[in-house]
Amino acid sequence: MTHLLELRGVHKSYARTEALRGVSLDVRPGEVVAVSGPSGSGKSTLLHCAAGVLAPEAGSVRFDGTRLDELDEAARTRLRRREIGLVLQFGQLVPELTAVQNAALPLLLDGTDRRTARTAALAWLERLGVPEVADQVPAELSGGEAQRVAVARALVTGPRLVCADEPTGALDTVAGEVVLTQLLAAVRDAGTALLVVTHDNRVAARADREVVLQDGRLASGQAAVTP
Amino acid sequence: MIELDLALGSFRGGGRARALAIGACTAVVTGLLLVAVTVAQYASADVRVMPDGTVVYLSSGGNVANLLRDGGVRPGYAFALLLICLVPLTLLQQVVRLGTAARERRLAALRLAGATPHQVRTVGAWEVGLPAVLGAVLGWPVYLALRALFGVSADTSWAGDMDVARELRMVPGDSPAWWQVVLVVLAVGLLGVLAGALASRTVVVSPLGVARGARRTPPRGWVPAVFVAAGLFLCGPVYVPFFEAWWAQLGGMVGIALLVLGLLSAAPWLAFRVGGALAGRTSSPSLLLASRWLVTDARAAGRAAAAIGVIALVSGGASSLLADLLRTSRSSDHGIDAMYSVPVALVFAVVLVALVVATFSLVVHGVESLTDRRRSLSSLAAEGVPVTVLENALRWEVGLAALPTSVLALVGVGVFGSLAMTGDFGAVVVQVGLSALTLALVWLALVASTRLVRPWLRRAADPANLRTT
Repeated sequence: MTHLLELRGVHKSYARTEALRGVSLDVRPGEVVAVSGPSGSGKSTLLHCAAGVLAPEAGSVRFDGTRLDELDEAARTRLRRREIGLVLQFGQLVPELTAVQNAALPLLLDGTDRRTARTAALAWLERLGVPEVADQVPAELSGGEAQRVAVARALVTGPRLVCADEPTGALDTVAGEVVLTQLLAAVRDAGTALLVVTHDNRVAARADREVVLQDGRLASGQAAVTP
Repeated sequence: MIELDLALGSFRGGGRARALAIGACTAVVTGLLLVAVTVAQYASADVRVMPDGTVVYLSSGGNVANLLRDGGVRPGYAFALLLICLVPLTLLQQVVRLGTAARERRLAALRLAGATPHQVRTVGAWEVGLPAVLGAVLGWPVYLALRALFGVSADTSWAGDMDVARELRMVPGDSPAWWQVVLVVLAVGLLGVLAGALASRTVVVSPLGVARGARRTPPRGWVPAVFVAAGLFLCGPVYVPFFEAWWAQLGGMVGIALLVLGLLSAAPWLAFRVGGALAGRTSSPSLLLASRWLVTDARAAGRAAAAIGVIALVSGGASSLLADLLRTSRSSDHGIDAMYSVPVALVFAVVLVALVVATFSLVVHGVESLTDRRRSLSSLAAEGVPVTVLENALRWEVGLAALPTSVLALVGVGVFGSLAMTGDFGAVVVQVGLSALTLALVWLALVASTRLVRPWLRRAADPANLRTT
């Protein structure tokens, strides 16, 4: 099967710290892959390289055959906006915009007209179980609601891959379970691949595959590259 | 246009105060520039061009201020108006930094939602450009207000003395041409956008947050030294022997502008040097903190305090002039003529207003630096450092940036003034007294600015910030 995402020999360092030391990883279309490992093992850096947020110093990152690491920042952003949804630990919503405006933002930035963007965003908020917060600003939302709005924002453009960095890390157990269930249901229904960084064993247990990072390398015995 | 929408959204949120402050600054700058334009093209009544082309100077110039009537001092008056614009401009430079932390989080959120770097820059430009241009448009009413208060046909009888009332009528009655107004408004609006762009030039906004540029080299001393040397050359060897020639007068103005630039650029360098000298010697915790902050980054505090050095320079110059006028009036048994006393009094009034504005610049710097340092401040407070020590450190940080330039400016002008007054003891005492008063006022501004940011300091020292990233 063709890989949607291919990382080969990715190296990335911050000052004198080598965060990634030649990591290779494949993700197939529609596949849910969990990345786990101890703190400082390079999980988030791997996810940010996979999403094209960070450019690796060595190695390659291919999304559907396109070398992300060879695109400039603007081109990577445009590709990410359309094809790769990104969910971070704290949601990171724009504080002045309402939930529905936040969810519609990627479409608006891409030139979609306001009415179409709002309709699509509302549909996703409904799908994720938070239609009632559509007109509230982030300060009025609970952590779980804000995170579901962030998930709606990541999915509104119909991406083929969602990269999520500890999406339940800042939530209590109940809210985390709700967000996780709805995120997994949404990506599976849409046929979207999911690369999720997590400390949470429950997340890893519900993934199709789990890879473990340790000191910037895949832990021994990991088959992160598939034929 | 989504970028404009997003910028307008920021005005509905916490960006309103910033927008209002930017607009107020550009409105005042535009108003002053429009007055300067009308002054520059003012044709006084004491000049008549005869049919054969010869220019005849008549003794009476109408009931307007000498600054306007006398073609010899009018260019200097227009130049002084341009210099006064520096006061709101230095405040503008500070207010564009207001709310930096919240704004950067917001821009990072936009990047996360898929905004390209160009789109984020466009949003940032609109956020500064819109209020700057709107403020510049409001500069027209500011100009009209100045003309109503100090215009050639304004009723200034409230001043009491007839001569003083005349000298206050210093704004020409003719309006600038429409294209001049448009040009000034556009130029000031553009200046606002430029200030916004320069404020964030080292910032890289990514979906993960904001990264500042690599730590820059310390401020360099040769830049202000070149400005000051060139300024002194143009104000001395070029101006003094040829002071009646137009080119020497122009050179003198350029010289003063260079001196001002020299002082503005010297503040961060002096702050860095003073901080470095103190950091290894002091045993006071407040001074140690302040000096280390300056060694790490002297530019922010230096920029905030730079205007105070210029204020001291102007105050020192006016003090010299006043001392000389008093000396002359003593020797001639006449009071000081209103054509001299009114401009000097107005300069002191401008100095006081400028000090108040500079205090607000320091407040903006204080608030922003507290937001930046909230984690380290909260950890210091958690370790038992009293808030008063932190408050003193804040005061010393701006003090070490403001006081050296102020002392330098006052001493420089004072020496020059004493030489010009040929060592007249009474005049020198007046000048030294006024210089000491200026320094006291500068210190008062520093104390006031620290008091005003006390609520933000208490918030920054809160243990909740220990968890802030």
